[in-house]
Amino acid sequence: MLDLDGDYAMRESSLSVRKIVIAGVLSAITILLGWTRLGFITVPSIVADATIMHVPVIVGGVVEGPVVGTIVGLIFGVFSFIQGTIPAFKDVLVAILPRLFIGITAWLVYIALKRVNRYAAVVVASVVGSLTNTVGVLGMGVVRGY
Amino acid sequence: MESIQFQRYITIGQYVAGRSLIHRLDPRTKLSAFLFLTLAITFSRSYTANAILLLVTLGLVLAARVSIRYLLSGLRPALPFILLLAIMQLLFYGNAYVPYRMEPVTLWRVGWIHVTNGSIQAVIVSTSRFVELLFLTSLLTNTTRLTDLTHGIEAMLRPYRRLGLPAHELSLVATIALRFLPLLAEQAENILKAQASRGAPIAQRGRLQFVATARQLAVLLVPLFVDAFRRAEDLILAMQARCYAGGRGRTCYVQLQFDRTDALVYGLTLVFSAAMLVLRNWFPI
Repeated sequence: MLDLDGDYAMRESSLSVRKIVIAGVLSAITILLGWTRLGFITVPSIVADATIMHVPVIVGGVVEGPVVGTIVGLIFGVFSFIQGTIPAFKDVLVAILPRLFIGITAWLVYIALKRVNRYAAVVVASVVGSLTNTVGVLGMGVVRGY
Repeated sequence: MESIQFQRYITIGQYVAGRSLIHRLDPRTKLSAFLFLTLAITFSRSYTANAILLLVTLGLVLAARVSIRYLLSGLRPALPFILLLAIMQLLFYGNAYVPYRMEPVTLWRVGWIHVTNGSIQAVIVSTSRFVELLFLTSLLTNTTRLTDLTHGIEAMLRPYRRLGLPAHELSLVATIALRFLPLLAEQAENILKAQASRGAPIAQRGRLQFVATARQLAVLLVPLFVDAFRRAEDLILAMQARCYAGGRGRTCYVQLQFDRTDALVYGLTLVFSAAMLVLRNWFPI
């Protein structure tokens, strides 16, 4: 396939065509998972479900770096704020703020471990990204008193 | 099979056509007003403040002529959870909440059950905050077209471009996401139907079968991601082949109009929200 890496036309901008498009498509997956409720795994708990909506954020962080990770995280947060039907998620500090860091932590772990073993780096980055989401959201929930 | 017809349910934005004053406002005005009021609601913690905010949001809904029943219909599936959370907050967390501007009083105490005026206030305030925000977010998406919203966001972020914030690119990300949503929904539907036609179990997800559900999701997610990345590569190639060069020097076909009504609404919500924020510790109860 023709490879046009380098993005010659976009040198003055911080975001290349590649980053814009990947961020957009991953955001679309996040919204799709939330909207169709495919992204929720019902667990034996009445107040909440497990979610996999943060997976595209981690993929974005690992594949395209922290900027894409943060953008997809922002869209994830905004979407869960708009769609949220549990009072805690109708709070900007709970729904949006922790989600911005998922992509960043996943990316940091990935580049730190990449030299050791690429596959292990991806696995650990995913775990750390998921933990960032869980700990961040629940922690902000406790701080904000829900 | 009903449960895997996703395309039908992708009604994001749910724009409800209308000609009310709120429909006709500039998207930038609506977005700013939405931000101001959201801040005021997030930091309100007294009965009085929430009563005022509830009246204001109700007034806005009436002004937009969006039916309240329609707004509340989104709430129905979540109602049991909300009630359960409220009851738990009310009964078991009596010590956790310090009431606003009142002496903490224990109203009822039997065994673990511990009701204080603090927990009553927490329940009422968080529920009303939730209803206010629900009305406000639905109002924004119900009265504004998605294209208007993305144009509005782009226009509002433009001043921060000097600080290195890529306004045009961010709004392009949002536009691509919304454009890809129906495509990916169709793809997910196709994958699930293909798997079902080969005998894979679908639907019927019990609460106790979460491991099976997670496994099923992996089988859906991996092809979905692969397909999404393939489509993304196509789009990247197409954009590069057309020498897409970002937002610099780009002009708009539709020009946003900020007129006197917009200025009035903007000013009113700004002053109102600022007052609610500054005076949030001054309300009597």
